[in-house]
Amino acid sequence: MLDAAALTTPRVAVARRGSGARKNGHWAWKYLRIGAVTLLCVIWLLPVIFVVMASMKNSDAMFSKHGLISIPTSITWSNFSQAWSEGSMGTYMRNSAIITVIKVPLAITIESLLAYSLAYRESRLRTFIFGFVLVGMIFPPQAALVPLHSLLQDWHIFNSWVGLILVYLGFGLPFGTLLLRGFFRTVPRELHEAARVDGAGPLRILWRIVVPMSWPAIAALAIFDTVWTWNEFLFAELFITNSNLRPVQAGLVALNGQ
Amino acid sequence: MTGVAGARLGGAALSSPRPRSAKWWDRQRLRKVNWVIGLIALPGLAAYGIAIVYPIIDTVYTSLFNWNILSGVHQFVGLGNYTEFFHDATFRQAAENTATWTVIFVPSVLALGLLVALWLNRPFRGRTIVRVVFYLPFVLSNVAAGLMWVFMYYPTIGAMDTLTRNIGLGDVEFLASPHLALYSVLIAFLWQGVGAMMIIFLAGLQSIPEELLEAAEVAGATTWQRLRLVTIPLLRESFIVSGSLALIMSLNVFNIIYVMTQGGPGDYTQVLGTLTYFDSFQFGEFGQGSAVAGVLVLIVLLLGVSFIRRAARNNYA
Repeated sequence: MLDAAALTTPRVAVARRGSGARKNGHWAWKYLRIGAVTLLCVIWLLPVIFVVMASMKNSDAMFSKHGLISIPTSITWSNFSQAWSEGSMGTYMRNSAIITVIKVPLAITIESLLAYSLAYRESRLRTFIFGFVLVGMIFPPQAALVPLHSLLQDWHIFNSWVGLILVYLGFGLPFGTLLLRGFFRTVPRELHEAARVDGAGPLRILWRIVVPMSWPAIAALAIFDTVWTWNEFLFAELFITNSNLRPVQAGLVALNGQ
Repeated sequence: MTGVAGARLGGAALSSPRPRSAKWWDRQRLRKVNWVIGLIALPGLAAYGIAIVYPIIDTVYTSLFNWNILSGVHQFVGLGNYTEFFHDATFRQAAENTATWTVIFVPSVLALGLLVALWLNRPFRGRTIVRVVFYLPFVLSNVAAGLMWVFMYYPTIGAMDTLTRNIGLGDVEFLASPHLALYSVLIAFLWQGVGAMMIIFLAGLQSIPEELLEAAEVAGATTWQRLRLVTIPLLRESFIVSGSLALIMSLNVFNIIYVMTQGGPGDYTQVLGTLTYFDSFQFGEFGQGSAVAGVLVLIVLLLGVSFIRRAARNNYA
């Protein structure tokens, strides 16, 4: 495969002498290398593998000798159904799914608006606001806990998804704005000005020209944001005390405590 | 067709002195545009203000008080909470742990990430799958990864304990030993971080023109020389991005420690990021907890501000 690819390119001499010919020479090498790579991957994933195996065991098998690391002899699926119903994992996952589905589009909307607002015609104020927003990217979330705790309670959105989503929106904003602003700026200026002369306002330009041209960035941000929101733990743990409203990561910890 | 041509003309004209054809309402329209541009920034800035700006200010303010919500004490002490840190053994422990954690984490995660990226940048069959495998831990939540490693370190029946017993080290208390716990958690954190660094380095490696490496090879450079003299200097930008990310990740660490050890045993795995939480929400010491947060924010800002400046500058290009 490698040699065939190398032959079609003018770099054949170098490629042969380098990684190509020497190591792929003997068939035994090839299998040895595949074996080594597979072994490395398995070792890297051991924590995941052990947990998946443990999840299929009943408690007797698990706490026996080598219980956590042995390959399950019989597969028990009841752990999953138990976690789902009795452990309320079903509820937790549904909660997280709803929060994510509301938060991500909302975040991308306000981040696009802000990014567009800060994208062009630099004035000192805009430069300052942009830098100011970026500081949030490195800000430790733990440092916001005490004030947010009081604030959410004062506003009666403690223990509610509204408060949680509000906090998520703020903490996701810096990265989203940075990413989108960088992308928005690659849209040629001429397009804006053409649209403007044709009578389009800023919102129409954003929606009809800038956003459609930035789909790759928006999709990437949506994926990143979904993972981030789903995985967020600290705020979920502290600001949601009602177990019916609890998102999945806090639920995992609660379940583990049982 | 004429529309497009007109638009081009108009576009050019807008950035130069006012065109002769401009009507009186043009100026007014522009003002309206500016107004709209300002207005659309507001929802984002409002969320940012509520979630980040207000808390920074309020944390600094709260840190000036001796305030315990459990006992109800609320008294202005100025910088008293901060000066107390010099005598506070727990704070010293947390600060030391944060330093140890960062000094070990940042270089190791960069080195491992670079190593994996260099390996996975070479063409071989199944490379994409291997990349996914090494990236996977980073996509897991800190909570899930932490719980997995708790399983790994589980006393007696866990994988690591079985391993140490079989190689003759006997039972090791990975998460309960004062000397080991911090490093045990650190390994779990490294396991998660390597994938992120790998992706950044891979992107950097792919932007290096192959001709350069070939030229070096033709000129007789060894593999090590090519790496040291061509690849690593050209990865400068990737090093800055991944280094900053690793630094911020490690200073702000919270979840994985909270899940795996809760700062224990004793305070042996307490870092500044967890101490502020436990002070505030376990002991109700809002004032003291806020002061710890204040110190953490100060350190993060001092070390991270150059990264922010850089990100802002690059974003202008």
